[in-house]
Amino acid sequence: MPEPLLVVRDVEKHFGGVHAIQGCSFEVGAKTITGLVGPNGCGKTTMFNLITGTFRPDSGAVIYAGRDVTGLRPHVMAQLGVARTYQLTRVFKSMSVLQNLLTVPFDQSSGERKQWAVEVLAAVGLAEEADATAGDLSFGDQKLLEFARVFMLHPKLVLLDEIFAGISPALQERQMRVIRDFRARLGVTFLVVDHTMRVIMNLCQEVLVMNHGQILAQGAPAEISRNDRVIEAYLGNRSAMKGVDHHRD
Amino acid sequence: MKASSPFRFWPGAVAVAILVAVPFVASGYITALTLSLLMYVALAYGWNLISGYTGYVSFGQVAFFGVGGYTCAILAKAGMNWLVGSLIGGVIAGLLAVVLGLVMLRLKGAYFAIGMLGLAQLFAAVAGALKRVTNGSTGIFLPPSLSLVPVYLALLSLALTAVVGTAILHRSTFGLRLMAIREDEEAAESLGIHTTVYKIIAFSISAVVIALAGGVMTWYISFIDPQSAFPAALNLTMVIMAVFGGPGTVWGPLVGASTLGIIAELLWANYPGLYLVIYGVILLLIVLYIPQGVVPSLSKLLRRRGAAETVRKGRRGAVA
Amino acid sequence: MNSPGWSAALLQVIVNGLLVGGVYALSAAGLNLVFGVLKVANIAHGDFMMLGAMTAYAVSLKLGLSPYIAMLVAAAVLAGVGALTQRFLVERVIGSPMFVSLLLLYAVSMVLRNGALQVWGPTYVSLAHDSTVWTVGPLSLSEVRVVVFALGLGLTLALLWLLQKTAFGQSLRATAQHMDLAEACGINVRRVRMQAFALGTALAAMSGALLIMLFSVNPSMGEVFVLKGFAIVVIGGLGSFFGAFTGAMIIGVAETLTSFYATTQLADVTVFLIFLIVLIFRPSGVLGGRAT
Repeated sequence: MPEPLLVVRDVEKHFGGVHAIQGCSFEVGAKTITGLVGPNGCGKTTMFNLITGTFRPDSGAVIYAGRDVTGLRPHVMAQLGVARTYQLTRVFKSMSVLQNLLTVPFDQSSGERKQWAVEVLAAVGLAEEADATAGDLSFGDQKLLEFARVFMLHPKLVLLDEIFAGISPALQERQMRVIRDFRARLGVTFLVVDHTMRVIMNLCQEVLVMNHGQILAQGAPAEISRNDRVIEAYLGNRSAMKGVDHHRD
Repeated sequence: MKASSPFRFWPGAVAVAILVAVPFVASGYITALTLSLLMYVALAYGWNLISGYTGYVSFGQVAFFGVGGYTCAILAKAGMNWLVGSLIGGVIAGLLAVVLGLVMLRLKGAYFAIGMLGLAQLFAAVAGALKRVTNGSTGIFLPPSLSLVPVYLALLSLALTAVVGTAILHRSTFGLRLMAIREDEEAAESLGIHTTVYKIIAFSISAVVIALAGGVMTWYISFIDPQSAFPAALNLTMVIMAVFGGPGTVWGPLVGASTLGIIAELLWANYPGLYLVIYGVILLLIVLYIPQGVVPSLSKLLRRRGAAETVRKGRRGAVA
Repeated sequence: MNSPGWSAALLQVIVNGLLVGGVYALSAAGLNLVFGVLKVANIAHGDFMMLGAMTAYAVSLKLGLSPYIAMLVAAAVLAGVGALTQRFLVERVIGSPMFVSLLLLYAVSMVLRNGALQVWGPTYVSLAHDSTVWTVGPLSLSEVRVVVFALGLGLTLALLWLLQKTAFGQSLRATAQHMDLAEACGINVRRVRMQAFALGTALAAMSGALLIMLFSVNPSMGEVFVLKGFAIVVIGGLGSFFGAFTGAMIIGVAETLTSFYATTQLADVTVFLIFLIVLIFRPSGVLGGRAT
């Protein structure tokens, strides 16, 4: 396993009486594409919020690039190179596509910024829509825009929350290509939450399985798909898997 | 992308030249009317900066009008030049806004709006209570200003600065980040924007603009008391002017301030008070039918026509 | 100053504050109801209170009705005004961004306040009248204060009963909790919203009508009462009726204490500071109550 870029150690989080994350520990290797899967409500999005500083853990530590970043504010995490998307797309609706991208980053001249924005838009296939108002885009294109926007930060770690959900297989393919490309060219690390198993199995080198706020299993996609505990947690029983898998494909 | 300036040079220069000439050539009535309009322009742009750009709707920016007014009045009473007094008032309001912003801007949505409403009332109460400095509800009388011209030119400079500043802001990354806060504050934060700092800066500049207008107007009226320093009506005025023209736009507040300002000035003389009811009704209609304001609605209409033209000519639109 | 006199005065002030709190609780219940069902912060609430007070005053004076009957007339009139406001204005911005409904109700507030100033002028009116004063230990309680408190409390409890025990209340609560689901279950949510808003303004009207039996008010009263209303509901946690009741008592007492020991103007400042401190340090309410 390569040097970890992100280490989550014994993280706990309660909301009132709900024990959302219960002593969660895992590592994400630098320059890998790691999947984070698990049934709805198992704490995946909460985990993202804990890593990016939206929530502060009750206990435990988040270590990023060798530095303890537990409880740092979201804007600080972003400036350190941790970018994210949201499960429910959050683009700046009344601004143009290009303006959405030009709000960041911080350490470049406006010329460089625009050049990079144009490159990123071309990569995700939104170049034609640069001057369109973000709120007028289709659902799929809004997802692409939010996906594109994270790369404006020149991130080292990108957390993607269900960016493949509800869009066409062709768009999914394009997003996967972009992810692979940014990893290969720029060494970006990805942590990907999704329910589309075909994508996770194809894209990721490593898969983390969460259940009830804990890491249940970790391994290569092939191992994970054979792991009985995972199948049980995820699907209730083995026989259900085929049906669901077909359904997802 | 075209990076052309939003100003066309010659029309702008001619407009400024006419405005500069007004107090020297036009009648006293026209000068006084234009002077009021210039004040409305400054106020509408001041409000637009915080509420139009960041989406933090303030029903109490008038608090800073009073801060500017009182600073100017107190310093002028002590013998200072009124212009210097107004400028100091602007600085004080700006600093005060930084401190208050740390607290107030933590309130979201309706709470911020109501909180600002309360803040303006608080300022009025404090002004009434600090009798030794403000002379309480009796107010402070200043020697009347002998000529309209300096007051007029001061307000003209302020209004022009506000318009030009907003045009620059609108195209700047700083402006984009303010708009990002308005659209989705949490997402803006996740992109590394220190939203608190940006909001406080916008709030503070807004306070400076409004306070400067307050200072100059106090000299013009040569009187101030808690009622004239923090009028709720003036707050309605800046809200409606910016919203009418288009909040968060460059030209919206100008359109709103000039159109509604003239209506106010015409009605005010004969029906004081009634114009506020009419303003309220206009605001209702705007919010219901063109919540984006007049300027964006018109430009959308024109763009649609323009786009149809482009398609007819068989050209593709410019794509980056 | 001898110590027993001092503590008796303090007790008297606190009791007076609690008695006023009954009226505030009634008003806050209306604010909570509208927020709960429509998800709209009604910043014109104070002006509906004012309209209720002015209506009760006019009715009582013109027709020579008892203030309590006048209160009922004001409630009926304002329920109508509220229903129309909701049907033709507020309903059209349901689901819009927050600032749209905020600006809309700000506009409503300005029309009502300045319209009322046109009609009635800035003079203060009151239906306060002499009443028996009861002496209970060291306290003197005026009959009208006690009756007004009892009415405020009783009407608030009646609202709670209505919400909890009737089919009408159930449709309100269902809409408050999940608008789409309520609609899918066959509830006419548009009508429910209109009923909730009408009920909210009627509650505001009744509290306004009760208030002028104790104090004098003028058409600008909405300016301070909107802040007071929101201070009360944020203390209790927005949407919590029991929380708002406690909040009303706290605000009532804090206000009478400051008026008594300092000045009336400072009472409004106290209310504002409470509002601010609660929102900064305990945004979910001092009582930690979740919206119900």
